[in-house]
Amino acid sequence: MGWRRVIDQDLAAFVQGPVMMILATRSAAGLPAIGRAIGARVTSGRDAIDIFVSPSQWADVLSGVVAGSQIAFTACRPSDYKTFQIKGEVLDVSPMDPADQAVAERYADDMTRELLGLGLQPHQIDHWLTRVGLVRLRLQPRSTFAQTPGPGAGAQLAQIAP
Amino acid sequence: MSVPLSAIRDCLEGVIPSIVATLDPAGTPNVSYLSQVYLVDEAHVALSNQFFSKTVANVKATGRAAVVVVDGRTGQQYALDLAYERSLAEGETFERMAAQLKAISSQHAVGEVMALRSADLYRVIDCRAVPAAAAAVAVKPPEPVHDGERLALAARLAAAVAAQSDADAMIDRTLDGLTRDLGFANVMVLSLDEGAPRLTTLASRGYAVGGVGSEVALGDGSIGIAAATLRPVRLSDMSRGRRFAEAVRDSAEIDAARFIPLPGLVEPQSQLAAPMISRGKAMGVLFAESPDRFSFTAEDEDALTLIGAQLAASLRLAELEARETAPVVRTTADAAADVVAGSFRVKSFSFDDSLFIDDAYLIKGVPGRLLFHLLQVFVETGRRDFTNREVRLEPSLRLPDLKDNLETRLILLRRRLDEKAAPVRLTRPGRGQIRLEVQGTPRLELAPGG
Repeated sequence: MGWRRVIDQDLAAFVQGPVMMILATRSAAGLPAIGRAIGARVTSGRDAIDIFVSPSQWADVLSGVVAGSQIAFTACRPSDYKTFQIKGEVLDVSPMDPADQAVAERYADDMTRELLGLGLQPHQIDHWLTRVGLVRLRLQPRSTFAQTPGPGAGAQLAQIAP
Repeated sequence: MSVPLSAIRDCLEGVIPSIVATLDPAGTPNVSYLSQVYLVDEAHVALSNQFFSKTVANVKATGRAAVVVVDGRTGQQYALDLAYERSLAEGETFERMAAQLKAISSQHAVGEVMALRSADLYRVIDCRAVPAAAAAVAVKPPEPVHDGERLALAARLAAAVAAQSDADAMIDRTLDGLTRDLGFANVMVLSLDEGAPRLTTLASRGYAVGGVGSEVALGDGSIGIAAATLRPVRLSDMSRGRRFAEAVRDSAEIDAARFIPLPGLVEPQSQLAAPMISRGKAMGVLFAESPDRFSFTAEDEDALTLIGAQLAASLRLAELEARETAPVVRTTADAAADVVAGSFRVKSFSFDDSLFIDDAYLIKGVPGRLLFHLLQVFVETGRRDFTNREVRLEPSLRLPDLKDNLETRLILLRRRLDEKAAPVRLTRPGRGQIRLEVQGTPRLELAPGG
């Protein structure tokens, strides 16, 4: 199982689509901490994923993050609850460049359309669909898991040796 | 704690999925969506545990979890730090969560995979608001909670129901009180016979059709789940769910010729179903729904449960009293009372005791059997007055001993006949008495089985 296979093409397409994105890290206090991501982009070699996070909304989740920190990232498609979790390490945290910002804004637009189409109200979304003040987390996937609700939830799909 | 848990009640209704994160002993995080966070008291929540085994394993090892919940009404998010206390596989908290989860999963058509295995009880160490996105409107304060007001109204209505001596009046007083005093615009009462696979609508308010005699399968939708689990069910935002009415319409089992449509809103957003429990068994369900999101509060749930329990107790008492009534005094005038021209055809199908009057479906089961029997006696002897007692003892009716909800079935039959403006009606001249009012001559026909 080569390292590139951790993120196959289907999973890459999935996480770059209009799916709900959540992440968890170990906070500076040593506790689990949660955040939401606004968009994701898989690098061309499928060896890393960039995700975009608001530090003002999710201070805890970024409080303990340094290069090498463990991170869990879960993406869920709201129309059918198809869900994957990716675990790996943070490679770096950096400011957004214009290309990053474009990905995040397109995601926010697509996600808004998707969720309103499913019957949600704008005010139910506006609280977390942040478009400004984001930072980029680049993470290196180590393992992926199916997490769609059901008896198969938690099954490991792929892993590379640490 | 910066935000009291009572202020985040609306988050805990499964409208927008919650998030749970844990660490394994090596510090590797895990993050997952969570179907249900249940408010146990001011310092505890319980999390549903169906299948996220990694979360459970981590929590058992480290004792800690983080949760984010979203207020479905405002979109406001809250972050909770939790310390694991213990697992619950039974008890009131577990049963309520299981019923609610069933209702939510039946809405989303995910079925049995959502069955609750256990609920995990946590102490809440902190609860804080997540800052809103810059673009979002200012945080709205949570809706004021008028603790106690609705329960006081419910207690008064329960007392008014208890003051009724007639089963019909109990039902009407309940529905009128729910609409007038508690402001529930769309309400129904459904009865459940012990051992029966479905509930039957006895009366409703706020719908274009009364729907008396329409049925809901036990375990189906919020009504069926409340009856099957003996727990109230409350849904606050059904915009994403497969609606119950649709599910009923889609059912392959419907026999169109013998189907009475359930009254119900085309697009309900909120539903509340409270079981009517007496002696530990469901006798029926009180149901309210609304086209608006978040129409019903946790206090409404308690209020409807309280009224449901009173109605169940009152109906049971009425049932017992109706058995002990002295036989009716018949007047000689009765026998020759009605000479109305014309006739109508009453056809009974023995396989399901369904009854058709002039080819229009009336009702099936015990009420169908009952009316056919009364009409047979009427045709043979001209007698129009009967008592609950003799009906109960009539072997051909095959009423289950001691379990017959005869009064409820008579109410169902009488109301259905009224709603259909049928040429035969039932009246109740006194307690435990039944009188047939017949317009024309019934021609009885017994269809062969099948």
